[in-house]
Amino acid sequence: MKKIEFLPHIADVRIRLEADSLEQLFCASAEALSEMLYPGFCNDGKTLTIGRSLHIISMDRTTLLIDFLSELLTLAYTEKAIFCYVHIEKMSETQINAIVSGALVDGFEEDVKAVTYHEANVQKNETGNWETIVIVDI
Amino acid sequence: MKKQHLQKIEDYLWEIPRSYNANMHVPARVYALEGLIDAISSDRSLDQLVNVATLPGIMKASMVMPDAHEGYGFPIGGVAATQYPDGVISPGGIGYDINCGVRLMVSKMRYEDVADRMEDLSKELYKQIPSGVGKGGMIQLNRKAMEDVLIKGAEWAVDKGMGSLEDLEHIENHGCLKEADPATVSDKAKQRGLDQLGTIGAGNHFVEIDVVDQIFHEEAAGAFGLQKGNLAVLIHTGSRGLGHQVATDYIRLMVNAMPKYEYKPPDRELACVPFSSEEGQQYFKAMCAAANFAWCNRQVISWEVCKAWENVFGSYSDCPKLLYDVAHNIAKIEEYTFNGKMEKVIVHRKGATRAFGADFEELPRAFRHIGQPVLIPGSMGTESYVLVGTNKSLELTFGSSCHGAGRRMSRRAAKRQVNAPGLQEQLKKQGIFVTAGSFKGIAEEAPVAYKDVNLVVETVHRAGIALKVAKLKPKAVIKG
Repeated sequence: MKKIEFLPHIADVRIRLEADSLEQLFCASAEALSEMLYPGFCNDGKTLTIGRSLHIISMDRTTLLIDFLSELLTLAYTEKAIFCYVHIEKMSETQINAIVSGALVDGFEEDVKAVTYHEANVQKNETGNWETIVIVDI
Repeated sequence: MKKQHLQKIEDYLWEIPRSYNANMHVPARVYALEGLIDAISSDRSLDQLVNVATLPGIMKASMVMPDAHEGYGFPIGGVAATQYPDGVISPGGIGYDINCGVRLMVSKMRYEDVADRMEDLSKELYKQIPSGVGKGGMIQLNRKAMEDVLIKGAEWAVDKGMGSLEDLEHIENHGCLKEADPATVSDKAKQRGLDQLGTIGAGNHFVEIDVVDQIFHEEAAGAFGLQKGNLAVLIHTGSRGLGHQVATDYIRLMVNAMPKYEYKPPDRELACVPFSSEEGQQYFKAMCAAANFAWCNRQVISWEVCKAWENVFGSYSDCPKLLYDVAHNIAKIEEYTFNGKMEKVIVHRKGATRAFGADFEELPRAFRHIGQPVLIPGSMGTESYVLVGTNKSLELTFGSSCHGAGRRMSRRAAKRQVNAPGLQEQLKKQGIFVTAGSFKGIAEEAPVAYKDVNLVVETVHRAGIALKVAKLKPKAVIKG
């Protein structure tokens, strides 16, 4: 189970993510980022033409999520690609090894400047699911 | 935070006292006329302003200008000065788009003589100036050229024939921060910038043709070369992906470094380290390099404007001349008087414009006796302003003023509310030609999404931190 909700923010984008596992929360966050960069791009069974591996170590699970998204954003811009799929090979609260795959694009629909730490707090909610807010600078 | 937490000091100044929060080192101050206070207190701007007041080494007050709105970490429109050299530097106080800024070129051409060419001009500008996300420009830098751009700033473009040496006199810091060190900029950041010189990007960035509509300050307008009825070109963009990556890299580095300095700010996006620390120095040098990239970018865009001008009007020499180029996302080492003594401070401006008054040596001779031009773009389809900085701004706001109209509606709400093709048509009927990469961009930047720029400018004018010189009205807008 994973849920992505776009909430109001006066100038940027506030996203609420919820999932029944930490792995799914990371997959949901990547899905939300790709959807912002190029809405609908990953919907129609894209042929995957590019794959990259990510290895990130951070101080806790919240910074790990934001650092993961920042790396994914950098990768999107430097490779000029949208990464639709995340395969997590290994994960702890402070480390993730993942393979991301996607396809090349000519341009992006949204100018996502950065993924911020502001308001981010990965924690379990009352239902036992993992959730957090992510603010994206556009 | 509610409006009632604000104490009115003057018609244009409000304060949240230190007593509001035990962690505040200084009070928080809001420069705004009463008509703007509801909008400013309706989002999290004031909470964020209070958080800024807790930064180690902050001096006098954390401040926001009248165009303030919620950001992430710092509010947009924020000004904070910290003690030099051991107070903190915080990348969040500068923003991801390092040296996002505005430049104004002024023309001797009268609008009434070329009114029927505005649509052609807007199409030609759209052709000459690459816009949109992930779109590269006509210049492809190699690694060596990138290093040169990061060191030399706008001068790099002038050396390549894109502008004149006189242009450099008309740019904040002459378009180059000498502390820049390319070695502190990551390979990823450099890679993202290789094809982005001369591009405006998307979001609220634009190139706009204006007509000088009203003069408020004859002497300053004369010194600035602004004449009622003449054309002007306003350019708003920054350091593109290179600057975004520098900020991302260093905020991450500082989040990890903060425990070493026993800093625990109320928001991780306020990540900071002592300016004098190794991390602080590395960031400052990288920020200066990114700022130089932005000045070079706007210099190249001016050259592209001139190419469009030549293609439409047949003469490159008729191209508008640069009046001024000023940053509104930056940190600077500046000197101010505290208890009768001059002290250096690290001034963070995040969505705030430097507004220095007369006799500032860096200014060109033509208007050194008047003060620095302060450029305030309105929203698409509404007025923009040229103001002049004052020495009072040095006393009140660390030489800073507002930077724009300031959003009052979210982009999503604007998209829901605004019929973009209808707005484009309506503006065309008013004689404003909007050329954009998408209807989404037009809807998000619709005038209804912004505060009343007249009220914003009136605030800084009445406060005496920048005075009204001229009002500009848009005639053609190019957006990503």
